[in-house]
Amino acid sequence: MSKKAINFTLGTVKKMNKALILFGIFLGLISLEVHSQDNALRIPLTSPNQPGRLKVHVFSGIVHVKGCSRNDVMVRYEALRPDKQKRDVVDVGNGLKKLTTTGISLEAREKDNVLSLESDHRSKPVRVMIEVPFEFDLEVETHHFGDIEVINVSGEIVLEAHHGKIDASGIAGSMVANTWHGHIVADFDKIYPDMPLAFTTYHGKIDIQLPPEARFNLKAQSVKGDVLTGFDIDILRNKPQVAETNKDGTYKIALTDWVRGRVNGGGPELHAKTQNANIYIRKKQRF
Amino acid sequence: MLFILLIASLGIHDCAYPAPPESIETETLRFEMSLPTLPSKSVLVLSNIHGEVNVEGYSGNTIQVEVFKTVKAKSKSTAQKGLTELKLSESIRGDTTEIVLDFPWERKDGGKGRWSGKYGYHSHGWHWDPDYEFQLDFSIRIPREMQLNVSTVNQGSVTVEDVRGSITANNVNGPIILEQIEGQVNAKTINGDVKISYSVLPKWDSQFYSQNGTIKVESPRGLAARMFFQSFNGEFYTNLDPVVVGREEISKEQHPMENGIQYSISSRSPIISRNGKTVLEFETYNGDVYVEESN
Repeated sequence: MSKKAINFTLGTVKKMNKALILFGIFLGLISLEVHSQDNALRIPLTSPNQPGRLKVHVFSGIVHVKGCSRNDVMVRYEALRPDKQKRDVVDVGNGLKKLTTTGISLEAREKDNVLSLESDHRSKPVRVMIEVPFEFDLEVETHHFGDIEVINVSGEIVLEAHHGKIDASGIAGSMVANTWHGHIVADFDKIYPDMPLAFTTYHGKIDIQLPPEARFNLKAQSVKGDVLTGFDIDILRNKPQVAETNKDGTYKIALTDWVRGRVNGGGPELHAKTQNANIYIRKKQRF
Repeated sequence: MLFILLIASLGIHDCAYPAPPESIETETLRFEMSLPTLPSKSVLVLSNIHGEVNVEGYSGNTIQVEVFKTVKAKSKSTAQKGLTELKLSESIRGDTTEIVLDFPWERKDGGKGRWSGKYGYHSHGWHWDPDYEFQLDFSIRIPREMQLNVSTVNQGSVTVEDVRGSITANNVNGPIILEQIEGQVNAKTINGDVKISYSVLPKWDSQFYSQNGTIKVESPRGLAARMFFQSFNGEFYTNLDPVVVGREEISKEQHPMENGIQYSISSRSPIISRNGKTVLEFETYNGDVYVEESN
């Protein structure tokens, strides 16, 4: 209900007459008030409307970041419960019950538009939902659970999710995304000539959508899958690279087989690597 | 077979080296201290380093102390020197009686004063490096109503029995065992278990911490408490009935720091039995927590 109230005030404010605007603001204030008591924290920036950077390190949990038309940062959080622990009290025999409690511990700090948010490693799993201004740099790292989702953000984005998947959409800028046990799906509205893109996972697919006019150099490798693209690509001569090392008279020869090519004349490198699934480099459909 | 031979040969090999000459001297000290005020308002403080601290409540009016000193050195004379150096003294400040380890500590800056074990001698410029090893095992009897603040670091447990007053007990490399107690408890150890058994239903807010050990609290039937549990690897078990996990409580703080503003958010959900109000807080890193009431 409260989320709706915020969208309501932000989205339709211009069309409303004065009384409605006041009513809208009133609703907004109520919902913010409820959040500030409950599970939200509004963090003002030292210089609003200036570029900023968000650094998130959540050891156990899920992180969502969303660009919004605002000049502060709103952090919402809720305790997560692993699926296997659906009940608080479980009988374990011998007259004993095992009790599962939730408890989170987060610490945030803001200085000169750099906002860092960390969870205590003893904290139980947490879901953090963060709203940032549209133009914001991000560094987000999770470990357990680990899913990361980023929507509508423009800037330098670094994402690291060990046990989770990475989903990003409405991105303008550069991205370095790493995970191990999940896919990487990213959808770019714009990329810049001097900003590289790199996606690495092990057990998941990599699925990237780029604007049709995007210029980049592709360097992709899937050890057990294929590399598929909708772009016209000038494949560079694809000769397996042989790396030879000689250590104590023992030769080790490694063959690495990358797909390399230029798209729209070439540009920053787009690096994609996975082990067990396909890599898709798609041309974004315009509707 | 080869393996066994190997072990056997290693054993023989080890024995081929003579043990360094070692002399062990022991001594038992007994003394009695009277209280500065009423037993229920008096506090006993003892911060031991190596060795046990055993405290037992009784119906008398004085503190009766028995100390068993053990000194291990390369020569008999050094060991005997140790026995004389390991002096104890009594300090009374207000309502607090402290048994002070009056060893030849030195202040690194050359200043004077007396080190009191409560403040940690390494970090506060106190220094002492004896050429012997020692252990002091304390057995103390106190008036049952007294309050206690006792600790040790190595080679021993902290045990308290039959005491009604509040108890602060610390250990590092050993357990804390509090039996037949009634009062407020603050028990903290790193590498040891914490075992508490109440003789009445606990009505004072208390805290229990063990980094690597198990915490076990036993109470008579009818325990009504609001319990909080935090752990990295441990679980919380209880036989209390009824027991529920209550709604999460959230606390938020904001403080200006040198490098920006810091916000802290924490939440925890209480484990509530019988709508209790007594707050019992448990924290471990690796160990489990058991809260049990007798049937």
